[in-house]
Amino acid sequence: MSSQISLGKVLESRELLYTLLLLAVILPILHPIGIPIEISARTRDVYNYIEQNLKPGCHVFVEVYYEVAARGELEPNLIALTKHLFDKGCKIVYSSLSAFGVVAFSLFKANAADLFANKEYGRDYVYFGYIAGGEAASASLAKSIKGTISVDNYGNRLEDLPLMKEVDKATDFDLVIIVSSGTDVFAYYVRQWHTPYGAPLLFVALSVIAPSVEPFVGAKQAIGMLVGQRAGAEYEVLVGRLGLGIASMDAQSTSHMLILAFIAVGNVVYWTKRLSSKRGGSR
Amino acid sequence: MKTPRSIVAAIALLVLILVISAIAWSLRIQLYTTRAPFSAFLILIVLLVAGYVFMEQAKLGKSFPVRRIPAFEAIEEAIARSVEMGRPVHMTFGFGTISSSMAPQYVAGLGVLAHVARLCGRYGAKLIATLGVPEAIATTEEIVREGYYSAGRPELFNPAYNVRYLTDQQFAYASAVQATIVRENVGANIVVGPFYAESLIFMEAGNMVGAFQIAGTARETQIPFFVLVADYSLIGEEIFAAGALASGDKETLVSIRGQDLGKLISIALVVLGIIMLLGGFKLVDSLNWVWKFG
Amino acid sequence: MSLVVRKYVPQIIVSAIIVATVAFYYLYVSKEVADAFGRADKALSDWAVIITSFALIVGGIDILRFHVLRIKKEGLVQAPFSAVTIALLITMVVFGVVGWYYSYAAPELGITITTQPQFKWLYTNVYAPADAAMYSILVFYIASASYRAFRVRNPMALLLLVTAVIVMLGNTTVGGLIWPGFLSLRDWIMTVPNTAAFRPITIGAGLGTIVLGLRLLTWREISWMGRRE
Repeated sequence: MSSQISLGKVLESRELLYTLLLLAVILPILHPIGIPIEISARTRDVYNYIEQNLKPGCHVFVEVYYEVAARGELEPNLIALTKHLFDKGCKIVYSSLSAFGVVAFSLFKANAADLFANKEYGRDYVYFGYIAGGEAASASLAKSIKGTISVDNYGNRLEDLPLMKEVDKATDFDLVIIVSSGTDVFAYYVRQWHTPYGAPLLFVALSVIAPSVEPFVGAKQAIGMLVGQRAGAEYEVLVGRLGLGIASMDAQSTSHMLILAFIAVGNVVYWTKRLSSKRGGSR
Repeated sequence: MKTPRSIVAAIALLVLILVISAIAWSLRIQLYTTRAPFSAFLILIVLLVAGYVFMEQAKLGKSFPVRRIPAFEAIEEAIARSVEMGRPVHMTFGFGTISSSMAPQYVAGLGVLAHVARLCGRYGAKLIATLGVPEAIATTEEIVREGYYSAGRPELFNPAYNVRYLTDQQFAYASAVQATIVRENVGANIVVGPFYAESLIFMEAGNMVGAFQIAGTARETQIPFFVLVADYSLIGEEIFAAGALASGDKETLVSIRGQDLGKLISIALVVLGIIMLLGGFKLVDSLNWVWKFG
Repeated sequence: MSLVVRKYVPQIIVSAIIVATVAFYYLYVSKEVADAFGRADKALSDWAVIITSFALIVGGIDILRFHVLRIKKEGLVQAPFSAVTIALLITMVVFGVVGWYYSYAAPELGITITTQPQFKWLYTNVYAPADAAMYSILVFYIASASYRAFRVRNPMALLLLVTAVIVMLGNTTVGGLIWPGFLSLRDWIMTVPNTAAFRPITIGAGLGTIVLGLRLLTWREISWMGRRE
């Protein structure tokens, strides 16, 4: 009886769970297992939309609104989408309504340097940097970008950038992608870009906030949504550029299985104690 | 009983807005913007007027039953428990900027803080109010001071101990709150406001020190974490109701009825929409109608 | 300070702003009026950003005060933590001043501090790893919270556990190997019952916001002012 209790105590200890979890996350990253990944319908729908609707020379607006902490989940999606868009011959305008988006963008560009190697800044892509003002700034950008800001993130005047001669308002863009770790900014773009101007929106969201953004997708206010690390891994497979997304899936699998195992063990220990105390009580 | 002038004025305002809108429509004047459906404006005005009417009726003595909110009632239990154990009470209401869309939740958190501060004054508990909203520092100090002074315990108030501004950066705030909870060994952890990923960090920290935990947020993504770990939870709009309950003012409390009216309108629209859909009509097309000519 | 300044002026300002922002959002009248409303709305947002920036200065001073007093009161026990905080606070201020100089002397480095090399170094090498580490702690906390919370005490807890297992397996590549249906079942759970549960909470929160706005407009909500009289 006493050894059963102490075994239960050991199994219930936080330290054991945390140690095993640490190993379950680190080992598959160091030694990948390579479990095959199935592409979900949602990710395939987004891929097909871009394949079928965006033509060479099209214009895409990308809102980079995530913190460095959320890079693991969102950056693989952003990199894979950027590759797809550049492969289709699209021109991309990046922007950030948050100060931390600027750092996230610079880290994204450093990690995806190969994608930008053959692209010319100002002609193929532009980055506005941080634009203060939240939803009001988003509304102003939708009406007129040049009426909102006069220079980009690097101090270049917008009039001097060839790409900015082609686009100025929401209706000039063929797709608007919002990559965000917060829920508010999705609503900004639905209210200020989609509802008044009909701009097609694509959401890229963290797994934890995806349920609160789901109503917009269900109401067809967005053409689709990529959720979390799994969608990033799937998109990497679809565009043929394997990166951090797919590399992390093995770790995600092992850690999830470990948590499920501990939940099962926890229930076994709980019910063993409960049944034995009932039996003890009935005697 | 004669209807008071304030109620008549509020209803007259609603009627006036409708009449002006009708006249503008008939004269083809673009009175409202096309970026939001007209129904949204109408529902907003109806709810504001209805809420005001309910508050005025409460002033005249009409009583409205309000459901018990166990999490709100548990606050007193949590504070009393902390005093018995000789441990401080910790309260936090979030980080960020009060000029964001989360402002109503910060205000609700401040309302609960006022209640917590008064109870701490009454019971003689040590309160540690941490915050990550720089604009609210002075207000938080005022609220905590008021709580202790109104209970006749001014000697317990020490701004450097009771009110701690941490930072407005998410995980720096989270680690500072976690450190406060663990190092101060709090007996009660009250967390009401808009929270993001750091919510579970606070809850686990409180769990580690065995604190009595009451949590509430209207950010739906974090509600599951609070419900899972906290002893009592305020879910969604209950934090606004808690803010009203905390005021102790009957008229303020009755404003919750405006929320209930809004919910009734939503339910009626959903049911009507389903019925119309069976008949092949989409109610959403009418609701999404924007004020536009041509 | 007189009652008028302490109580009535803030409430008048709040009520005026509430009415103004509702008008700015919904009214059109004419193109000139709508453009003016748009500019005024943006101006209000800009003023809010400026006020926040000044409030951050107050916050910085508050942090300094707290930690200096802590070192005085608790001596060597608290000193290392507080000393590091104060040192980093001063470092950030110095970096900010350097950034202000760069924005005029070397604008090619970036006109906002967030793009300048000294800030990028501090952010990338100090803040970002610490930020990511705190976010990563959630993995362990979710595991321990799940371990405690998913005990089958009653039928509802069993339903919660089964749903969680399906979603977790649907999120992993292993789940697809065990049974391919986990992926589509996970998608269905997240898009149908999950959304149905979230929508009322979102609606309720929105309604609560409206009613709170009403209380602020009619001067019934005074907790945000601090004093009650």
